[in-house]
Amino acid sequence: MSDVDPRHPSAELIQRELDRDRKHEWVLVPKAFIALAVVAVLVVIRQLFFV
Amino acid sequence: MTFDWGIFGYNTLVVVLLLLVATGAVPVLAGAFSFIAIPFHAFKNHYRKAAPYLPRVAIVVPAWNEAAVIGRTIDRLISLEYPPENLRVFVVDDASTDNTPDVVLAKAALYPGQVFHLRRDKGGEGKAHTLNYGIRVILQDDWMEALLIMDADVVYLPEALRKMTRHLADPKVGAVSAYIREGSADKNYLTRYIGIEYILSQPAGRRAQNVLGAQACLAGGAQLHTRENLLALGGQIDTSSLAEDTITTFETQIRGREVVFEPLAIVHAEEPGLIAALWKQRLRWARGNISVTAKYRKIWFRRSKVHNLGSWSFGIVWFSLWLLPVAMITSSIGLLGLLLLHSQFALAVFRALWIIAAVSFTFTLALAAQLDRKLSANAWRELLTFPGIISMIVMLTAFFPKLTEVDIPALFGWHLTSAGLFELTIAIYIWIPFSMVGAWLARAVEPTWIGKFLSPLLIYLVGYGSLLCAITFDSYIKELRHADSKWDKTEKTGRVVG
Repeated sequence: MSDVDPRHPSAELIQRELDRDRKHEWVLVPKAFIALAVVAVLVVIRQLFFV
Repeated sequence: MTFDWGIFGYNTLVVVLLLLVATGAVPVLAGAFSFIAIPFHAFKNHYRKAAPYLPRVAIVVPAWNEAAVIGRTIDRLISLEYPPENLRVFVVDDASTDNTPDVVLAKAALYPGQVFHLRRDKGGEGKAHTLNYGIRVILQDDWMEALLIMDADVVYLPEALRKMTRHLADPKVGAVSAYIREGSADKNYLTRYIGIEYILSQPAGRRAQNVLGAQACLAGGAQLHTRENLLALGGQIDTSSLAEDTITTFETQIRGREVVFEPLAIVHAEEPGLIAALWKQRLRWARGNISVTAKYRKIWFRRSKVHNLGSWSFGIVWFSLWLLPVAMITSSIGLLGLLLLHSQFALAVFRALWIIAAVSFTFTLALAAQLDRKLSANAWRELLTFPGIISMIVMLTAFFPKLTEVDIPALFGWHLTSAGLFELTIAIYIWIPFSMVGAWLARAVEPTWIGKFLSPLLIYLVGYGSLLCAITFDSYIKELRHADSKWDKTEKTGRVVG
């Protein structure tokens, strides 16, 4: 059992959390590309079948 | 050569109508622009300037008849993953008539030196007045280094506060806001729509505002200020309008301090489950935004070395939301006018407008769904129907004209005549303003026996966006009539999941 008190987060823990969260923001880039891909599929279907 | 005034008049009218149609594209493009800015948050964010920092935080909780929720709220605050010696909770009891004082005093006894009960004998003046009572007491000594303003019923996730305070390590930051996530335990169609709206406006929209360098509004239930910022604001919250959070946000930035949105600090809040309650809450916000627009008329679209509120990008995003109902009506008038003039442009601009809308909505909702997957998965019906089922059919009509005009009618053995197609086109062109009427009708029937079924059905058909537009439109009317603008508390039941 850990004896670390969650109500006293250490500077190291907060720094690790900060580094993790900063890196986490990079997932926004592939997420935007996925959203663009959904739009692209819609446009391709239109061009192939409904024009 | 003779000058044909008839042709000149016709062409002028067509140009005016085309301009009216174009007004409908502005908010859609502004929304798309915001969403395109979101991935740039990967490298244009405040994390590089943030650092481990745990200042002494005073939490001010306004409470009026909150006996059902305030005890649990205090317990949750005390158990935050934050040093207890750096945390004090001040509950400002706004002359409650229930047993809120007893509950708070019991908690003050349980957590001595950490929980304080402040009592206003005269209440009902609004949240800002209640907050100011507490802030005056808190500022009497120099213990407080940062002030957290919240609501009595919201639930902070354990790490939320320390994720907010790390941004205050940068002395340029004046205030930090968190992600208010819809967290009702017993959700219905409306709270699920609100959940999707909050994804669009916060982890999406406010991230984009971080990138643009200007924040429109600190969340009322989660705003953290430095002591210096609070003192620069005069040591109090604005009480002159219904938009105290927006005014605080603007004043912070105008005084040269940054406002940061922290998308990973999550706070759960209970939102209205009835249209009537939502209408009352949003009407207050919309009327507040009108007063903010007028109050800061000298900053719009004017560059400043101090803040980015005057940038074109921020101005267009702000006015697009505020004037969306007007744009919806003018674009429909433009489309209908072109159709009745039998202009060659009618069909082309209709398709262009709605294809832009379809592409923008698809991109927006596909990205939003990924920003909060759990909430989106639980509200997938509301996510897909956010623009409204009928608007989605209109988008399909623009995007896949053959599908809706030929293929689908053929499935039922129908063939649209020219007259039928013309009538259908008129209906489609004027649909957007009528969707607001549908939203108003949903509110009108809500208290009746049929409202239980008809109101949700109408909102699914006309869209949640149209409901918000109808409320904004109502705010124009109320402002024009100079109707009473008093602060109304949104009823809460205390059913928020942690």
